[in-house]
Amino acid sequence: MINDLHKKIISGEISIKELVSSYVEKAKSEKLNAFREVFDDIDEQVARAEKILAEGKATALTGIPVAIKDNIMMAGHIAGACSHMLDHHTAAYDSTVIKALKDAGAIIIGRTNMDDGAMGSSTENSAYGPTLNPYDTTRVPGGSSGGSTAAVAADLAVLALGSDTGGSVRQPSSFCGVVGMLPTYGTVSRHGLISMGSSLDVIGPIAKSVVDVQTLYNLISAYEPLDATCIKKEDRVCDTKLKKKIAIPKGIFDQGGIDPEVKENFENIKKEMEGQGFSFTEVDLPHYGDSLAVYYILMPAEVSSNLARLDGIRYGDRVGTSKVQQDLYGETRGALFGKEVRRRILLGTYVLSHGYYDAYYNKAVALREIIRKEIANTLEDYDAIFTPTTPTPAFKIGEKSGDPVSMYLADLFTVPANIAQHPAISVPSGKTEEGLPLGVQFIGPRFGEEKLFALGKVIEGVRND
Amino acid sequence: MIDSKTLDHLALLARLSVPEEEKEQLAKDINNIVKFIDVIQKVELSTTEQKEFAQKNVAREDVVMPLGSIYNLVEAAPLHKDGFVQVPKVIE
Repeated sequence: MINDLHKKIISGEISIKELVSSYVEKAKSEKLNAFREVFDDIDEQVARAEKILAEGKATALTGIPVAIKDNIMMAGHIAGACSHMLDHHTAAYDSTVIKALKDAGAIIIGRTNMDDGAMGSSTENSAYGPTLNPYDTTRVPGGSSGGSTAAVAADLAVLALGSDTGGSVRQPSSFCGVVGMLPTYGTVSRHGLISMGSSLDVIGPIAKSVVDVQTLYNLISAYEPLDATCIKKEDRVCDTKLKKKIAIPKGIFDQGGIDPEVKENFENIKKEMEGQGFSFTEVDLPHYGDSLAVYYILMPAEVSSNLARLDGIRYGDRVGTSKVQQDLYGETRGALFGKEVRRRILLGTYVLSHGYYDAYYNKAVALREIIRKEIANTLEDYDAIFTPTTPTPAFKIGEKSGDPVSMYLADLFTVPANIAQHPAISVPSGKTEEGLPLGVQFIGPRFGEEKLFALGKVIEGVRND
Repeated sequence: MIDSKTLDHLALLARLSVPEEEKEQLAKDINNIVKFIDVIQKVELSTTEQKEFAQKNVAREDVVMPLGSIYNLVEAAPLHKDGFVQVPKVIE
């Protein structure tokens, strides 16, 4: 899609202004609650892109409308993470990914809805109400980057950025029938991303096709020292030649709660790929299934520490008239954080507290290393680990919002990649009888993004919907 | 088991006020989550494994760099005056 648009822009068949206006109009009148705000400086951005074009320096992304998740900072604009805590938080600087988009002349048309603080799997935790799934408006788009994936699916933006801590790009991409990627941890700078779980967070690209995700990934994956965990290009080493050997974790369908249509679709895709010379092997990964429990220890622990900075003093809003600073923290945080955020802060405080630290946090840290080794060892012999992206298609609004644990299970297949800090991609693989999108996921070796793009393109060739 | 006393203690540690009417449900939710994460207790780890896999620092070394405008950052605070963040009195 970007390539076609790029050709049209270069040949003059369509002007950047026309292209952008058509998207801005759609984004302004949308009824899905995908956008929190359509930006008011689009004319300036278009002028900048036109200048790049006139100078003959246009690249694939020049003039292309992009939506960003509400936790990615763009100087002068509100970056609110869809939390009342940051309702009035204006970004003081451009995040690195925004800088890269601006330099390329991409048009950042607005910020999208998400779960409060990126905590959730449905956007129902947003302080501004859920986004609706474009395929069925009684259903969730997934989350937490549900506004971004719905915007791309409904063609309100050509591309979008999200952030993925436990599946927050891939799970909503699967629910909305678009391609979403979790890059290798450390390949995309998070400078200017409102952090949640810092050993897990990665900014990820969202688009309608694998090749567009690839183009956006290539743009945002430069080394940048302001993110202290960013990895230098020369250290990103991986043999990306396809062996055509794929691993499936043994017993992934044994647990309850997996939709029969998800399983059927997965088996069909597998058969199609076998027809193209791929072989599949069930591999025993004894601790893979513990990933979700490990995640719900490490992530809340990091959340409870990370969010200490949101205290009514330094960012966002302040509540209460308390004269004592200690009380002001509690009042502000209690009043402005959403329910799920408060739940995770308390849970994180619990697993880090005296008497429980060894049994929960330290044990989870050790288990994470064991899971990481299992995954890394498997990917020495196989191109990727293959699973559905989600156990079910998009669920109904309200269906799981009363039961946190059942909501957490929506991330069953996506979490292991974050735990291991490996890259993964979700690609649309068909639809249910009702017409809801389904997706499959490949987890690749570290820095093996090229492999994932190649495998994703195979899926695009074999899926039938 | 997280009872209301434990919950109050956690809320104090986290500097998070919890309204009285939410406490019961919150404790119930957190207990359900703890039950779920407790599956890791069945995994036995040897002392060597625990040592080998302990938390390590992965961030690069700190480096001193010039920062743009500090003013912009102070502006992000909910209350500020003359380039300073305003806070309540800490000591009466």
